[in-house]
Amino acid sequence: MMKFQLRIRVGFKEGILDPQAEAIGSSLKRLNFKTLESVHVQKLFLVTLTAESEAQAVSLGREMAQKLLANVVMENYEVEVLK
Amino acid sequence: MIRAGVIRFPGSNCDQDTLRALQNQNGISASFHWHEDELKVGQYDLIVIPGGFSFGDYLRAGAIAKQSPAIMGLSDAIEAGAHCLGLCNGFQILLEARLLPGYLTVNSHLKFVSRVVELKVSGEAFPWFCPRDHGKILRFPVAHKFGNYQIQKIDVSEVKPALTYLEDINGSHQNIAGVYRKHGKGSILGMMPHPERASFEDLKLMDGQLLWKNAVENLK
Repeated sequence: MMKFQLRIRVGFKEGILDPQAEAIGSSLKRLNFKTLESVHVQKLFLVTLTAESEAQAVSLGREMAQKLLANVVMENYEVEVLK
Repeated sequence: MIRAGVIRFPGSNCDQDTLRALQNQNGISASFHWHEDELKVGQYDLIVIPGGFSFGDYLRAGAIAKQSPAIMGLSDAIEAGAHCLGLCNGFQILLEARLLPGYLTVNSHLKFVSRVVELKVSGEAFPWFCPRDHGKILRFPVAHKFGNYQIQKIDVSEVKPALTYLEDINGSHQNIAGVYRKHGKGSILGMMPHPERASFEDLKLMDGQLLWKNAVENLK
């Protein structure tokens, strides 16, 4: 078994209303970031676990996202291996 | 006697009101059910998930609560004939557990909304709303920040709007305040408003009693 660190990002799917991101975006515009086009807010989970292989670590991370970290009705997720 | 269970989580805060509203009805025997205790098939006729902030709303409202033994056994209990009512955070838990379709997100105006609102009974929801209640206007308090109900498309063969806001209070799709579906021999009704806070004479707001009285009449 090896130790892996995963970075799991969870964010709203395209088209899901995200008033928080909109409010942050308009606040940034007020601070004169004139070229700002869009802001997305995501949640980031740093997960350390042991697994037989990198592929198994990723698959465990995906399972965590599907079962708890993301609500897949409204959110997407991405799993990356950091080390 | 109709047996009602009120599921309690760390962070539930409408549990006492809900229990009292049920207990005040002749014909209902209500008790608390701790979330860590397994829910047995046939244990209750009515299962009510009260409002509050279960597990501090950590991660997403209802996300942690859906993993509890009581909620894990809920689908089987309902299929066998129990009728489940999720109020506010209880509705959020039912959506997280995928027992009802759609999702709740932050109110479109980003504010916590806490006031009495007018609602219309928009469909039958046995045993809580009877066909004769269709179109009835009810006044219930609401108190939520994540009550903006969204659903891609309502498939009425699966789920029906049971209660709608008379005005847009949080951005919900078609002003939906509550949805209902049958599940096996039982049913599931989830709503953001608080009928349990409109069930006592001292509050001069009594419309919530309609649900408890109908449940007694329909299930006795």
